[in-house]
Amino acid sequence: MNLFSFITRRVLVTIPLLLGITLLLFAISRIGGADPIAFIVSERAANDPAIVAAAREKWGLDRPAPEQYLRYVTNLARGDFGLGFTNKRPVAEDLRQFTPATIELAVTATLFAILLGVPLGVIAALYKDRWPDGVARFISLIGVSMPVFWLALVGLEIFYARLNWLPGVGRLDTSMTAPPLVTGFYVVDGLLAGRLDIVRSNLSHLILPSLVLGAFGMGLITRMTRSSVLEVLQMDYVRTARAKGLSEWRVINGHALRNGLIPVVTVIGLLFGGLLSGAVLTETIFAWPGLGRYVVQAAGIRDYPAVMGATLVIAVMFVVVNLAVDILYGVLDPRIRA
Amino acid sequence: MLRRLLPVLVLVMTVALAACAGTPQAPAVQQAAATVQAVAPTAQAAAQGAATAVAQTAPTAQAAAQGAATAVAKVAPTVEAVAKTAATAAAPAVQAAATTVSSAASAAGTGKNLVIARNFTGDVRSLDPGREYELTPPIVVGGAYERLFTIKPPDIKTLVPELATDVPTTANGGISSDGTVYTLKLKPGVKFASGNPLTSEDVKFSWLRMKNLQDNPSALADIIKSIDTPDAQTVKVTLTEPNATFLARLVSPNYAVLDSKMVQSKGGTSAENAKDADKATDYLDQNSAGSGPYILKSWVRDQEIVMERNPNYWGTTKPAFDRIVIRNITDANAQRQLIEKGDADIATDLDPDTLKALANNTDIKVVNGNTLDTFYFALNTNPDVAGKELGNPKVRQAIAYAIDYDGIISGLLNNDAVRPPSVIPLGLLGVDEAKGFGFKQDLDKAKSLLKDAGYPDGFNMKLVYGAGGNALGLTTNEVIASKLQADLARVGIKVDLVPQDPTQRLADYRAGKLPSTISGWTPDYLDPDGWAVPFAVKTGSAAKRVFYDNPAAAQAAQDAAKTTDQAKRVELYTKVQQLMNQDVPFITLFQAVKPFAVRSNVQGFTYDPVLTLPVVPLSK
Amino acid sequence: MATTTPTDVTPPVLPSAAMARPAGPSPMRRALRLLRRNKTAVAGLVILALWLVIAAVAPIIAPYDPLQDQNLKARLQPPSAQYPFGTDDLGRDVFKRVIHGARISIPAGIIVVLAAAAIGITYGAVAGYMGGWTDNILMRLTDLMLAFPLIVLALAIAAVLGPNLRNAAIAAIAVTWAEYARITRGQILAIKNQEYVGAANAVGVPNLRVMLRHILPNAQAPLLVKITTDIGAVILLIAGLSFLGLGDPPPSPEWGAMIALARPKFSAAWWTGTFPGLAILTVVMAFNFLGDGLRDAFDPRGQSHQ
Repeated sequence: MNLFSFITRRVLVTIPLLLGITLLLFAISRIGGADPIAFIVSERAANDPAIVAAAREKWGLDRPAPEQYLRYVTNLARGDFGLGFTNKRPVAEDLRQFTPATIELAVTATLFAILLGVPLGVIAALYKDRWPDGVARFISLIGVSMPVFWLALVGLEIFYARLNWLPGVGRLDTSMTAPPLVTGFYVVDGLLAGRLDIVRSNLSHLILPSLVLGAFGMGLITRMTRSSVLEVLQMDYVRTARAKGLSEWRVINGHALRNGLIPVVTVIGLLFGGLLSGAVLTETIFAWPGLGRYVVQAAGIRDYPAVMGATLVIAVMFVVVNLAVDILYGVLDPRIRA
Repeated sequence: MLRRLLPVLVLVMTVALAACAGTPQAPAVQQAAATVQAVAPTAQAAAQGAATAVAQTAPTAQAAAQGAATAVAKVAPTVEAVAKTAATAAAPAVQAAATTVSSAASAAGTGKNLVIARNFTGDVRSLDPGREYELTPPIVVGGAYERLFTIKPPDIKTLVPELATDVPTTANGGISSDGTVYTLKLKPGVKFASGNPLTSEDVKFSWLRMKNLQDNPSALADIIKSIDTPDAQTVKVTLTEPNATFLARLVSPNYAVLDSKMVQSKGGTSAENAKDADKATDYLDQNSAGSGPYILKSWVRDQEIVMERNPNYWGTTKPAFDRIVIRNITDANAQRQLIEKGDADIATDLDPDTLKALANNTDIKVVNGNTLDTFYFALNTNPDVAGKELGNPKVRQAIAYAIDYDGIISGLLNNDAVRPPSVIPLGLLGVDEAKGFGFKQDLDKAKSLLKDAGYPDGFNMKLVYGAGGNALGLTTNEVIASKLQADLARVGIKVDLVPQDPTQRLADYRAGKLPSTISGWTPDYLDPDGWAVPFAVKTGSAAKRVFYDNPAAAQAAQDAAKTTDQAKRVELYTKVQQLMNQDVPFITLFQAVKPFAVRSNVQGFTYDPVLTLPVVPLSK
Repeated sequence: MATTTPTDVTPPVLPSAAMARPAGPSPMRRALRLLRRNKTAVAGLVILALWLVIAAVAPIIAPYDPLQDQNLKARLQPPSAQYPFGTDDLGRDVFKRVIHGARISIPAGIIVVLAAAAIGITYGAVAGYMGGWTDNILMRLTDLMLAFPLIVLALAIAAVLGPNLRNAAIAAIAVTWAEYARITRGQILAIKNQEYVGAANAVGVPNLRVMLRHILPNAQAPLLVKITTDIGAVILLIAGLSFLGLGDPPPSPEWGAMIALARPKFSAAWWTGTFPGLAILTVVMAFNFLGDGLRDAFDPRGQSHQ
């Protein structure tokens, strides 16, 4: 199978999955049975049957549930996510506003997880059963055991409030306002606007939340790297290389690392789902205006156009990352596609 | 060799992370660099190996290696060799990265900014003066728009003309003898930020639009029958019936004057069908159309509101700031951290405990606001909603006697609160006279009332509260709810606490679905009428939420609005409070004396019960 | 299938090569012996045992009535001899609340995972054994669950059902069972084709007994590892939901809820939030230590190396 048909097949299979997600969410949103009209119209307008009826029609709430769902899906196909109940603006606009903040956080968190996790894992493998191994494994276990919301609070208290090494909550310094919206990524938009102060502020604001969010992934990657490097070190070709008298460094670098890190690539895909979950809590504490905070607020008030939209975007991100990981894996290890 | 090299690799990573911070003062960088130095004998080779390893491990790691190189070069000249080697191995982009960091540092923001840290999640629905009815929008309206009259706290009973030339009275002919026609004179020479002159037409447009939008604040304008504009500086308002509260209502930010030409050009209308035909709200949510010293620049929901100076301001005192940013910081602790570090100039939601901890910080001063904000315990009187127990007035009285009011105010709130006898806050007409009707904790009385009502062993009830919400910024809803739960347990009433999303809770409360809840009330205008009618009249916005219906109380409240005889009004409002404390649909727990944390270099902060935080007098 | 990837290629959870091997002389006992020699696992067991004892004796050593424990005269006291963990906003003893919190979080984590495992194993066994269309449809549903960011689904469920611990637990079960189904199905498929099952079928042993007797015991090791680490993960998830206000309402001393309550005053009274956080951390770490130890003990590669 060539790469193109591999991707096509995977994308096609994804569509029913995404539809299933919308259906599930729609069903869940209907179990509660609360009439969302109270969130849509103001208190005073709720006394006016004409306004209420108009609002019901506008949101399609006057139709039977199956029809509402069908309408939602057909609109979705046109990129229309519907209108939010509380802010009455297109959910698509909200998603456009909040998604980049989550992506930048998830990407930097993944980076930190890899940058810290891979070396730790390699060290643990090379020093198996000696103290560096113990330390590395301990750090990795702490990483996966840490309540992320607590780590966020403690991190802010120590590194911002007490030590002042890192900036506090938010995506930018408090007196700075967002650059003109182009991509929604402040680094890119800041560069486009020629505002290096924004770029710098955004990057420094990313460190603490990314480290907090990346802690879990760091633990996972360390563990994965350790076991896979250990496995490779046992392989015959590594023994052969050693026997040939190659320097330890060239053995490790040329064989063990390269092959040992292939399975690690896949864990990144696995990691991403957890990362997005963690983002929900991290964003809440760091006043990070991303999808996580958005979905928490929307879920609380059963603003289901907003919840469904945000969840879909999160699921798509998850699927895309896993697809990319699979492709990367295929490139690194062609046996997969054979 | 290899074994010694790997720890260095980790160190380089650490330095890279620190370097990404772009915080040159970060001690982490120096520490890590120092450690690199300590391992120096093998450092050069190590760095080479490290760089190679990094480059091969993952493409993303390259950036880290660059960052590491930059940081090392900056902090420790002795390890130059390391940096050079790493740089060569990594990529030529190192220098570019270094340039970026340094030039970014020099491009720091200029101009005078004011940063207000405030929790306004869900509290800004609109910034259109014709629609906003929450707590945060008045801060913006107060900066970007002007009203005919304001108040100058701490005196909250005297009107001060802003756009008007004087305060109309019957004596100066401004109010007709039957009390239904008000003639208001406007100051000449007032211009909107757009440059358009402010005339009586703008006043008429703004007020009628607010009335006809039929959104929440429209209730304030229900009493207006018609508005005439005999000339550009004169507004003649005819009321449907005499109303003693009309002038007090004009202080409300909903009575701000909008630039009618501008608003109409954006689809605005004041016609009868404005509720469907008006399209200007989208514009007014993101821009202002007023005559105030500041203009609204942008609003990002639940994130930030930005105002900038109005370069065309007509007044003599020019705006003190180039930009005012109101930033949504939900968490009180984060607000504390921001103001401590000087990243915020004002924090509006710090609780008394946190402020006490800041008492020794000379960079921060605490300004108390004598608010008219009250926090109350609402008991639904409808047995179908609340159960037959709460439907019984004796049970509600028992609850009122069971609460440890002093414990709440002195214990939980560090005395940053007072307590009015009933729903009308202290400081207003007729409240001092009603003090004798207030409740005091009396557990024996509570128990005997429960016994009389037929529940000697108590009963179970539900208390719904907004989860994560705060009680007038003094403490959390959870804390108050837990305190009530413990107090009522002492007379045998078992309270199940039901936390609910704040928006959901408000919707359910407004729909009359909650058996009991705790809630706050903030003034719409500074006259007892603003409490008496909503709380005592069956159709009032608070009374209907708990199905409160006492025709005698309602009558007294409505009569008090129509008369201008102060003594008579005092008598009627006293009666309203007395009756309400017999029926107990609401138990006022406290009235906030709200502390604000303000950086010492910020001048001109005074609390205003209408605007909360007037930004215009501020400077630094 | 897009989302099948992670579990398809996660060998540490599913060392199927090792597990597919016919059961040797009591592998469980051998694993237990190895476990005893594994320092991490022993540390995990000790911490866990300590917590379980604390949870068991909490009502005896620190009788506690969450309603009557308020003391407004001793609010926000820092840690002292009288209050080892200080007092909270309402003057309640944080130490007492933390140890009573163990009686909520630990059982909740265990029950949720066992329920999820039971559901998932049954589901996966049915799918794997039936094969064909049934398998296809059933596994599409697990794909759906696995593609979900768990906390978002849990949020939606908890928000609809209403905030309390039981509903948070239901939400946690709903997002945990799918991986068990996948693992079990994988085991079943791997072993289904092996000769001895075929032989058993040939002599007419009923399907159910085939599964129970030959297949599930083989999957014990990876499942045990997964259950152990999942208990930690579920405790984290429930604490997270509680932190967001979707767990038990006050006055419950649930740890996540305690941290949420402490959050506004974290700088002013660090002890109110720090100790419940440490409690979560140590309990979850204990389960992860144990899981890690189990994994090493079961994994034959780990033993033979070096």
